[in-house]
Amino acid sequence: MAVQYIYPEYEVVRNYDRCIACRVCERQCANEVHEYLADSNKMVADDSKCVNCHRCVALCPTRALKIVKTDHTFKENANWSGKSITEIYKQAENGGVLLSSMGNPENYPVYFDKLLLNASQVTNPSIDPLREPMETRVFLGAKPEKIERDERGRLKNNLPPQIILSMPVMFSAMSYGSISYNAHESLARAAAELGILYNTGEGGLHENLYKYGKHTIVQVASGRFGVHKTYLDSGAAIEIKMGQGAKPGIGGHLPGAKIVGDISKTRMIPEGTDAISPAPHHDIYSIEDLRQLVFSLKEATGYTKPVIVKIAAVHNVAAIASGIARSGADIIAIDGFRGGTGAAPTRIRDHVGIPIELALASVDKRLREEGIRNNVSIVVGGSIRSSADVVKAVALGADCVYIGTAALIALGCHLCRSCHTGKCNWGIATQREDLVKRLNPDLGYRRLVNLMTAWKHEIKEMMGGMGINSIEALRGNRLMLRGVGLNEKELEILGIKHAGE
Amino acid sequence: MKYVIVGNSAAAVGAVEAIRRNDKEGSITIISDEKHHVYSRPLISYLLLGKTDENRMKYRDDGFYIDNGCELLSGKTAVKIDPGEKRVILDDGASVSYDRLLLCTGSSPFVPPVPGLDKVKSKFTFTTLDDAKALNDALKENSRVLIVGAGLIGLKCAEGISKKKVKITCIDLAPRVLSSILDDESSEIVKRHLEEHDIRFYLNRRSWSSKRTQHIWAIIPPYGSMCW
Amino acid sequence: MKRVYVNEQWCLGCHLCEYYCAFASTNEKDMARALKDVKINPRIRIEEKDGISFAVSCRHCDEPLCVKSCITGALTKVNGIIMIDKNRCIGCYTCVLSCPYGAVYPSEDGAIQKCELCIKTHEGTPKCVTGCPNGAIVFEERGE
Repeated sequence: MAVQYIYPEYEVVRNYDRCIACRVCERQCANEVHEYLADSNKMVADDSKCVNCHRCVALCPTRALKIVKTDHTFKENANWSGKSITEIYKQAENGGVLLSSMGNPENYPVYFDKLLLNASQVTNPSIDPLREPMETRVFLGAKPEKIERDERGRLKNNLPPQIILSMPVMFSAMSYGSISYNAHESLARAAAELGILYNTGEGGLHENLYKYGKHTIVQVASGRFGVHKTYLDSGAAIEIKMGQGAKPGIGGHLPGAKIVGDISKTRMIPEGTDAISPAPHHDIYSIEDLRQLVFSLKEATGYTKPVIVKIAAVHNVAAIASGIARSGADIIAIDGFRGGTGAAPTRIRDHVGIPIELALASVDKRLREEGIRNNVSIVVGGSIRSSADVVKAVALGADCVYIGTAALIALGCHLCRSCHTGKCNWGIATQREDLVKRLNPDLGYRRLVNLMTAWKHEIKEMMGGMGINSIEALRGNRLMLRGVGLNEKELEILGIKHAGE
Repeated sequence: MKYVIVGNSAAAVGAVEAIRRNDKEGSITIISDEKHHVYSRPLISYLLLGKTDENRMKYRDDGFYIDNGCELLSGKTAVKIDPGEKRVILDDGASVSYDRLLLCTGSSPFVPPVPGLDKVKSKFTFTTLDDAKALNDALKENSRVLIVGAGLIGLKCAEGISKKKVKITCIDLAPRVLSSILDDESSEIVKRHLEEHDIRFYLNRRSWSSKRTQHIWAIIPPYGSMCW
Repeated sequence: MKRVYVNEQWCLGCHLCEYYCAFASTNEKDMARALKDVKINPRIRIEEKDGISFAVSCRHCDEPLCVKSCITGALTKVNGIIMIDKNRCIGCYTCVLSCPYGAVYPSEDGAIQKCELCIKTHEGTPKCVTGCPNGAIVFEERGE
């Protein structure tokens, strides 16, 4: 290329005193950044291909590598950042829509980081989770209006089908096709061992994973990929995907090149065809249409499984949630604007949607005001990064959270955000056999189990510190939260007081 | 049960260990014409090269005979066997009675009937430790050594003395070295390698001339070859 | 007896096991110092072709051909592990020829070398096992 508008964003820094030319970086980089020069017995790197995924850094046995942000700069400009300028260069070159992966990285406020938790002191004692029982189990689903008794006074079982979880966390929807089979297997096995659920996403359920059906949420998305009777019967719950936090309002697109072999079989589409998920479901154009689909699915599965409706957090999310709560759905899943994706147009990912904390608070408030909060359970996702975020989300009104990015990070993801290239060096967001091999489910599922076990313990510690011994006593308990650096309006929407009040 | 073994090398060791696995009580007598603890014969060329010593050449540790309850009659040659009486008669007149007898004396080097060989002063075969030691003592700087036979033993002998600043020449009836093991191409590779170590070869030779009797004959291998 | 086993399903052909093996047989604490500008001669080697790779090391056979072929008795079986006494080895390389896995190699000092399950260098799990980034190499008892 004659004029190089785009300077490599990252530089590979190699400490030649420590490099033993073992070539593992060369062998393990799918982007072919590293090369061994036999004449000089030296390793060299081509910075322009580096995506900063850290595979080479993590595998280098002598820690000879690091990746740094280039210090090649544009003139300082608070308005025109280097990023904005470079994006224009890219579009001037190829005339295409910019594509990105994973969640919104832009500098919007993170409300979780402005919320603080309470702790008990003096007036009411805290609880030691190592000495006293703590209940982290949650039941997701519609709860009956009131207790009913039969003519002999015994309790009637009027409880609709529920999801029972050992802790208020589930693995969120990531389709087979956007992530690899080994990633799915790791999620399924971890969910089974932990007593929680994972979500198939819109790519259907691989036949080898049916055995984990009791720990699976089967998703019915607008493309209806892989949806058949056995699929619906195999899951513990069915999720209708109306929207996704990363790309609200638009559908999905998995290029035909990736629809091969098992992906094609599982999605039930011919090899090589593009897998396009249309923007609205072609049979859902109103809330009544949604109700119809909810009940179709319940009929198809004999009313034995809860139905989840997943929506993106947008401006009038409270009204939408209210409609869903009245539609017969058992659970509402809300995906905030920080939610991840395999590939989405950059502008949609970065500028559409609202923060999950605000969406959650307003949905919870609206449903309670309308007296229908018990019709549904609320599950939230969209950048739950730690057990503290889980506790805060529950305090704001969530029954449970979804984690996506956090789970992938446990599997090895370094958030290089190059998933859309299909060359994930960690074997997660790729279908290339030689790369998928790198994610050994025996190791992956163990890491997920470890992460969740750690979070569960931390949740108990935080709850104990607050003097609370069960998730249900924490749910919606806004008095356990205080805000810092929030203005009046934000405090009002979140329904919490400022720290110090 | 009286076990008698004539021979004291690999087969004898194998026999002793097998017997003791099955019979811990019977007596074992080993008769050997060599005066050494059992040693690994292939190592004699390495001894000359300096890569090992007599102690490390031992095929079993020092306590082998005692630990296995064996009586070792070393330096004795068995000259006659009386199967009726079940006795082995030794060269010093003594006799050893047996219930079970094993003859495992191994092979002996074949010395071809070369005219004039009897007049050669320094000649050796190369199969035993004593052979190697005798050869070692006889070599001086710039000695001219003729090795008759370019088979395994001939070449191992050549290798063994290759670092001793002597002039080595090796001859064989066959047209190539290691003729019973290698084909033409691989034999050529081995020959070239040895020639780089200053070993001269005269192959495919038939005639004999007894001009010089000062040659030191270093080796006569068991299968026989010919001389010049 | 625990042995090193390789699952070729997970072997990535990254060759890290070779480097950790080479490092294990030095006395250095720091791998960079130990292996800088060194051409390694490890006791475990990757064999690879057509996208399949596999690390090969001594199997510590129940019927070891190398031990039978050794003319000096330098190779012996000690507690199930085939060990080399370098002092006895005279570098004849008969064992190198005999091993059906090609797991015995010449070493820099003329004697031979082979995997000894890191017994001589440290306690515990062999270094190739801990160094494998994908759990392809395991150290376990398989009742064989």
